[in-house]
Amino acid sequence: MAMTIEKKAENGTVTFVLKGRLDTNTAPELQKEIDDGLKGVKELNFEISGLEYLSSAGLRTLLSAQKTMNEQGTMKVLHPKDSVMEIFEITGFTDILTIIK
Amino acid sequence: MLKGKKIKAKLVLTMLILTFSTLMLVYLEMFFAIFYMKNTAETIYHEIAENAEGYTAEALLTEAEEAMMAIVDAEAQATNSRFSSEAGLIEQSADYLKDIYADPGAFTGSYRPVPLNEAPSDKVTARYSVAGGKSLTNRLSRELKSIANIEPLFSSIMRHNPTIDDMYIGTASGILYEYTAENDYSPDYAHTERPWYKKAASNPGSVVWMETYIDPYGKACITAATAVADDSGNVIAVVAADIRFNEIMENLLARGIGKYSTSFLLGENYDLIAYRDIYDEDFDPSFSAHFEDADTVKENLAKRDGRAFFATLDGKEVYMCASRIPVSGWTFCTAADKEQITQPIDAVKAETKDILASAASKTRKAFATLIISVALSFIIVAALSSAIASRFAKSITDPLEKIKEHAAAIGEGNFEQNIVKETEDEIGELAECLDDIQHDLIGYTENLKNVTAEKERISAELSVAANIQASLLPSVFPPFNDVDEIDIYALMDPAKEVGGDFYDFFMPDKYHLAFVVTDVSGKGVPASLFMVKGKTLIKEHTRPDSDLGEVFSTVNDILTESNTEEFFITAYEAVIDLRSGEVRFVNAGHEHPFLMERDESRTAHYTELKPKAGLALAVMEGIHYNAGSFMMRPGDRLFQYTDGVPEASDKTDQLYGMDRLERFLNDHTDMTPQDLLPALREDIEAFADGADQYDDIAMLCFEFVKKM
Repeated sequence: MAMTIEKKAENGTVTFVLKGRLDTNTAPELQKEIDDGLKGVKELNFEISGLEYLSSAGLRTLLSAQKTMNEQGTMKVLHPKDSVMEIFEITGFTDILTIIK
Repeated sequence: MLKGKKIKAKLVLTMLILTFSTLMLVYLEMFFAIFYMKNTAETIYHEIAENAEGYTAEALLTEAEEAMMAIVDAEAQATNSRFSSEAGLIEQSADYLKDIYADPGAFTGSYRPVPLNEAPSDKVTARYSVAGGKSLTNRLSRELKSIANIEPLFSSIMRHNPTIDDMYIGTASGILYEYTAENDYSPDYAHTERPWYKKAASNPGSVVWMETYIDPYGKACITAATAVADDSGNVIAVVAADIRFNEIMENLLARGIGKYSTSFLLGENYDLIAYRDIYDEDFDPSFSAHFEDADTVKENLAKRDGRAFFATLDGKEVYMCASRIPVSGWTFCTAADKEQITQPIDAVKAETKDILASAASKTRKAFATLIISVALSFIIVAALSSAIASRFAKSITDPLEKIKEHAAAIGEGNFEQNIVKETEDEIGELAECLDDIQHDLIGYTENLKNVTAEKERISAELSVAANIQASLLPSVFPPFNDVDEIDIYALMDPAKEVGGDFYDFFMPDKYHLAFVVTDVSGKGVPASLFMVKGKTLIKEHTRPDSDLGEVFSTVNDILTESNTEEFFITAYEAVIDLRSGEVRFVNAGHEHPFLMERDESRTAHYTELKPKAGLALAVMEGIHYNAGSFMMRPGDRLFQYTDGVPEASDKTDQLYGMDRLERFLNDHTDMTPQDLLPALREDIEAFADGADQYDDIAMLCFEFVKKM
């Protein structure tokens, strides 16, 4: 299973809708979107209710996005599944990411 | 038909098919024309033969017809004029007799005819008899005396007409007066009952002709007669003459065209009255006795159109014609043997046939020669076109063959060939393309060599890196020879050559064992390099009594400071005091370990220790980590791992999962660390069932055997 990324942009708000697996194989794809697509973005959302699996590589990508947004606006991670939320909790990322259940 | 054949064969076949179909058409047409001409020629010959035959037969028959018609016409005319003159004589006699009867006193001659039976037979004299042998009455004697006055006339006529044998008068009263040499007397004879008398009496005013009979001297005779009537029309007498016919007949029969023809005379009712067999005793004069299909012959005769016709006379086919004798109503005929007339025709026919047969044979030979030469030319043309087609195909396939050889050589790696563009067509272009390909391949191959060499170099380096990484992990078990208090085992399987997962254990002093299990985000060489840095920092900062929270806080700050690649490390470190079994630990975003303890009944059970973890290392500066602690009793085991274990996936992306892990551990509580970890890895592999694993796997397990 791969991952699909859907990007919605309006009024300086960008929302990435992620579905599938965010792992070593798919993370570079999202990383590229983040590297290229966050210029002037004030508000960044990750809608991850369709995300089945999140690996450390995926966490790293989200961390990279968070670091970028720390300097230019806000970032939210929306609606993770329980299994994904568990990963956030174990790794302590709940402390640095704004996660809305 | 062409599928699976070589191009040359295809070209040759195609051209041959075209050529041969054209040739076949042309030659078929030619053969048809030849046969048509042959048949026409034969038909013409046949027609010529038929026509020649027709013309010849017709000419011969016409000739015969003309000859025969000339004869019959002439003969009929001659006979007719003779009969006319004889009839004139009888009429003259009748007139004379009439005069006698009209005025008997005027005829006073003293002629004395003698009774027939007393008359001489060697001299022509007047004689008489009475019908029925009766005697001469006075009245009859007076009548006879008057009649006898005709003697000078009869005498004169007979003297001048030697063919008249006798002349006689039969009276209605019964007297038969004869001027003749005959004296054959029969008392029963009654002339009034005879055909000549009766016929003449019933046709007064005309001369009747009685048909042939053979007289007592064996000569054929005919009788002409005419009646004499009084003023009121009553027949008082009949005058008759016997005319010798044999001379006429012989004359007649002699007439004809050559010896194969015959002439004959037909009476009024078509009886044969003169014929070559007439003297035969059993001669039958009836027409149908001599002619086949008598009615048709009679019809032809009745036409009187002056044309000859075919008939069968006495069994022989004859060509005959006829002419009428008007005076007697008889018909004179001449018949010629048809075979004899047409014999020349058959000769001509045979000759014509021979000539035509020879012509036909020559024609056949000519046509046979023509057909053979046409067939030969067909073979020559076919052979020529085959040779040309083959040569033409060769001119196409030879360059192709060369290109094929070049291509094969390129396939074998020879890129230095001299590929010449021999033709200006597509094949030439193909040669050019092949030459280009060859040159390109030289470049590609060079490039590929470099890339392969580079890859091999990197691969070799990676292999070295993997070895180095492996050497960084403690891999000799048991690691501490003189330490009986612990039984430890660990293993690491990288997903790539070098991994981002790591384990380490060491003894900061002789009373303490420290172990670290970490997972860096990302894989490969960069991740492992970052990991080495993290591992080194952690080991360096770990002292027997140090606060592990502070260790991690320090390490985190250092790592974060230099983390340009956004790596982060989850890490779990624990330090056990081998004297007491107290375990101090710190967790930076890593999985929770499982602790195996025994309850009161000595039953072993693994439980996941879940105190809250801190943030992963290298994410953010200034994080403060809190250390925790718990106690281990002798026999307890601690199992720590990386997320590659629960997140190993099968082909349908099902995860191995925490539940399965916990179940496996509790099912194998009797296993020593050295046995447990390989068994778990095998179980994971069996679960994955060959599916690619994305994540490294690291596991560590130790048993606190006894207190120091």
